[in-house]
Amino acid sequence: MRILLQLSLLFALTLIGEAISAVLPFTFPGTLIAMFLLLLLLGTGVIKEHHLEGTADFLLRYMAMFFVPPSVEIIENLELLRSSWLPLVFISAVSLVTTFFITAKAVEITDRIIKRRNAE
Amino acid sequence: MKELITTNPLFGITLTILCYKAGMVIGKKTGKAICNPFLITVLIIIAILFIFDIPFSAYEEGGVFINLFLGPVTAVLAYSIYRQRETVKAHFVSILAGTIAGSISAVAVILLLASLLGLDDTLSASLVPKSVTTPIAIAISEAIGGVKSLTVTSLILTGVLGNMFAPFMIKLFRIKSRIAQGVAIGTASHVIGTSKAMELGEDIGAISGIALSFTGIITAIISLLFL
Repeated sequence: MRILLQLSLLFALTLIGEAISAVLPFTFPGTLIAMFLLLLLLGTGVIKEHHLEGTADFLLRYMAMFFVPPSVEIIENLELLRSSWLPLVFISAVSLVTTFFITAKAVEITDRIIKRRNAE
Repeated sequence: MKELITTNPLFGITLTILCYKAGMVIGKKTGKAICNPFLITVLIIIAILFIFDIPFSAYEEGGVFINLFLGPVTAVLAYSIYRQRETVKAHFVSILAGTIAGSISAVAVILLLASLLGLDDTLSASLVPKSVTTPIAIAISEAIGGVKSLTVTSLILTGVLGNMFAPFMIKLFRIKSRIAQGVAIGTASHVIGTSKAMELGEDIGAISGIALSFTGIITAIISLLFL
């Protein structure tokens, strides 16, 4: 019973997120709206952490599995990739590494500045 | 007989879950980061579809049911963010700074490489939003003259590579701070990378989840204003 309620809550939130997304004048994913809605509900105490226990832990633990079908779909674009796969793979890989590095360093440097400022 | 089985949605669902289980077992047995469970799962399924000559459309009959969970799986990141709220609050400025720096550098590096390689405008516009979550990426791509399928392909590729190499990059760049690890994963490789972040620890996963949503917004603003 608990799991059913938890699942319906999560699906209902996603549905509301998608509905809001559809009427927004700009593009913002319904799934992220649902995420912010759930954060708001948890923050205001309408939904308690233990209300989601179990189902949330399950979904988060096996999160990667749900991205398998869209990833397998790459094979549908093999024709398209034939002509431009090399620059596409190269740019995807290089920018992944540079973005990762710059982001991590920016966080570490900002953290250090804040810490120093707090210490003064 | 084959069609009878493969065109049933249950085929795609069963294949996905079984292969993911197999991927997890192989990943754990070998203990090597290169044997990434997610990548193994995708490769096994692609191999099975090729070997048995099963069209992707048959697999997708079941795949769509798994896809339906993408919404709840993303929304439920809020649960982790809420549980890690003290950490998130304490490092909010750093998280924001990291996602801004990361989003700007991603767009800059992609445009720079594209012009160095002499790519046409359509291809480079398709690549620009590839670090962000799918719906935002498609919207950006279409707005600046990219092609949806190219964007989605490079986006998935980035996510898979991020999922695979995140632990390597953390070691390579000696990123000790778990906050920095989470922000870097979410900013560089959106939600597919975040699923790896979640495996590394709930705090890293929660921060990665926040970072990916910020990155989507910031990248959209940058691309629509400057490109």
